[in-house]
Amino acid sequence: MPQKDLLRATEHGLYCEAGDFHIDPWIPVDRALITHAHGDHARWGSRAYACSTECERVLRTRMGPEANITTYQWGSRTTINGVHVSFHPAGHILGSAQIRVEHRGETWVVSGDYKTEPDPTCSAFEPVPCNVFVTESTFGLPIYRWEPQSETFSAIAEWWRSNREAGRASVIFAYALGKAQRLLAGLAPNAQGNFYTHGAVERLNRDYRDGGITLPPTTYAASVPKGHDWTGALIIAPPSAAGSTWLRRFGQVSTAFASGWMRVRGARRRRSVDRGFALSDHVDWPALMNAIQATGAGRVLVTHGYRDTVVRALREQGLDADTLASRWEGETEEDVVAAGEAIPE
Amino acid sequence: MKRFAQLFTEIDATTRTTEKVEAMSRYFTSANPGDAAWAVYFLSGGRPKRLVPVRRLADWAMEESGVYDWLFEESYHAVGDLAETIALLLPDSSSSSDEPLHVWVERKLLRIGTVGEEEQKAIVLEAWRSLALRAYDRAALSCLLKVGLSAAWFWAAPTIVPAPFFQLVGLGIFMAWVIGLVSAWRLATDAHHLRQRLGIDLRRRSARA
Repeated sequence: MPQKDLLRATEHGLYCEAGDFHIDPWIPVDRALITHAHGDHARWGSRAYACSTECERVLRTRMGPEANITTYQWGSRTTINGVHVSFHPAGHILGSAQIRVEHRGETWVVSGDYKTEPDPTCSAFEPVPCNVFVTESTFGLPIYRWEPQSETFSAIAEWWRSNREAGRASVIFAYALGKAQRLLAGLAPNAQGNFYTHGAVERLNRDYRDGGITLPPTTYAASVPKGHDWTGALIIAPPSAAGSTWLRRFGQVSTAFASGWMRVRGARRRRSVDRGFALSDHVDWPALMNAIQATGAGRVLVTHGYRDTVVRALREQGLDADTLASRWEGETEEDVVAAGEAIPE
Repeated sequence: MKRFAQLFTEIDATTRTTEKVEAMSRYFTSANPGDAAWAVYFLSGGRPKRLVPVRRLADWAMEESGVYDWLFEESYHAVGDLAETIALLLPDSSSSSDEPLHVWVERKLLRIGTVGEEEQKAIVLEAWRSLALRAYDRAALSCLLKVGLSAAWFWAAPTIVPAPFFQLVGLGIFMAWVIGLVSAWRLATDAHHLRQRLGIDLRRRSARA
C-alpha cells in the first residue's frame, strides 16, 4: 500500500493528519498554521493560530486582539503531535513564511507566497531542502520576468517627478499589506515630494514600523485639511480606491498600479490607470524554476496560479509534479480586498 | 528608431488624449521628414499584407527564447497579442543600435518581403538582438514587421514632392486624422455608455425588426 501523503487538501484546507493541524485553512479549524497574513491565506475564526514571530503584528491586526496566536522564531523547531514543524522566511511580505513539516524521515515544505528578490521590508527568502515542495504559481508563465527592481523604482520616481512638474498629484495603487510598504521603502531614497496614505495602508505602516522596519514619514491623507495643494504628493492607496470618490480630494492626478500583472499591456488597459509598474512580491518564471530546483525536491505540488502550465513544464524536466487544489489566490488580477482592508474614510 | 520607440512608449503610457497628441507633436517637430512620414504611416495603423508569415515569426521567437511550442501557446493565450508575446519572451539584449526609422524601414523591413526565408530570419533575428529595445519597444518593432509594401506611397512621396510642401500637407493630413479619430472614439464610447446605461441591446432590436 502506498504511503499516505503527509499533507493533503481537504474541504477545510491543507491538512496534516499525523499532526492534526491545517496550513492556511480557508474554513475555521482548531489549529491553523499561517504562512502569511494576506486575506486568502489567513482566514478569520480558527481557534488557535501559529505563525512566525515577524508575522504576529500584522496577523493580529487582521485577526483581531482576541485571536489566540503562538509565534515561532525563524528555523526554530516545534513538535505538534509528533510532527516536527518550523517556519522559514519566504520573502513575500513582513513575516511571510514557508512552513517545513517533517515526519518519519519525510520533509514537506509549503511555500505560501514567496519571492527571491531582496526586500528591505521583510526577511529574505531562503531555500529549504525537502522531499516534497508545495509551491505557488501566481506568475507561472515565461512572459513574467521582472526587471531589476532598482529600474522599476527609478521609473516610478520619474513618473512622480513629471507629475509634480505638470502640477499633478501621483496616486499609486498597491496592495495595502506588503506592496505599499515595499514601495515606501524603495521610493524613499528617490522621493520627489511627501508620502500620503489611505487609511488601510497607514494602519499597516504602523505595524511595520512597530516591527522595526524603517519606512519614510507618511501622512494619513484624510487627516489633511481641505484646500491642501496636492501638487507633487505621492498617495499610496489600495486597488479598491481606484475610481472611487475618495480620489476627488486630490484634484488633478495621474494614476498608476504597482503589480506583477502590469507586465502585460492588456492588464494595464483593463485597469484604466495611466501607468502600470510591474513590481511583484511573487517569483517570476525564472525565479520559480530556480527556487523549485534549489529545494532538491523530487516531488512538487503546484497550487494557486498557472498550475497546469507549471506542472507540465516541471514534468518535462523530469520531476514528479502535480496540481494541488486550494482556495488560495495569490495576487489575483481582480481586487481581492480582505476584510478590514478597505476602510471607508 | 529609438526615438520612434520612445514615442510609442509615451503614447502608450497615458490615457489622456491631449498628452498623446503632445507626445506626437514633440516627435514631429524634431523628426526628419523621412522618419516623420513613416511614423505617420505606422501610427495611422495601416494593416497591409504581412511581410513575414506570423507562424514563422512565432517559430523564430520560440527558437530565440528557448520556450517550447505549447508554452508559447499558453503565453500567447495570456497576453492576447502575438507581437507583445514575442516581445515579452525574447531574452533581454545588451547591445544597441540607433538607425533612423526611415533607414531601418527602407533598408531592412521592406527588403524582408523580397528575400528568401533564411535571409528573412537573419534580418529579423538581427533586429531582435541589436535593436536591443526594452520589452515595449520590441512590441512596437514586432508590430512594424506586420506592415507591408503598400507603404510605398509614403516611401516614394518625399522624393517626388518637395520636402516643405510634403511636411506641411503631411502634418495637415495627420492633424485632421488625429482629430477625426479622437472625435470618432469619443462618439463611439459615449454612445456605448449611453446604450449600456439605458440597457439597449442593438442586436436584439434588429433581430426583432
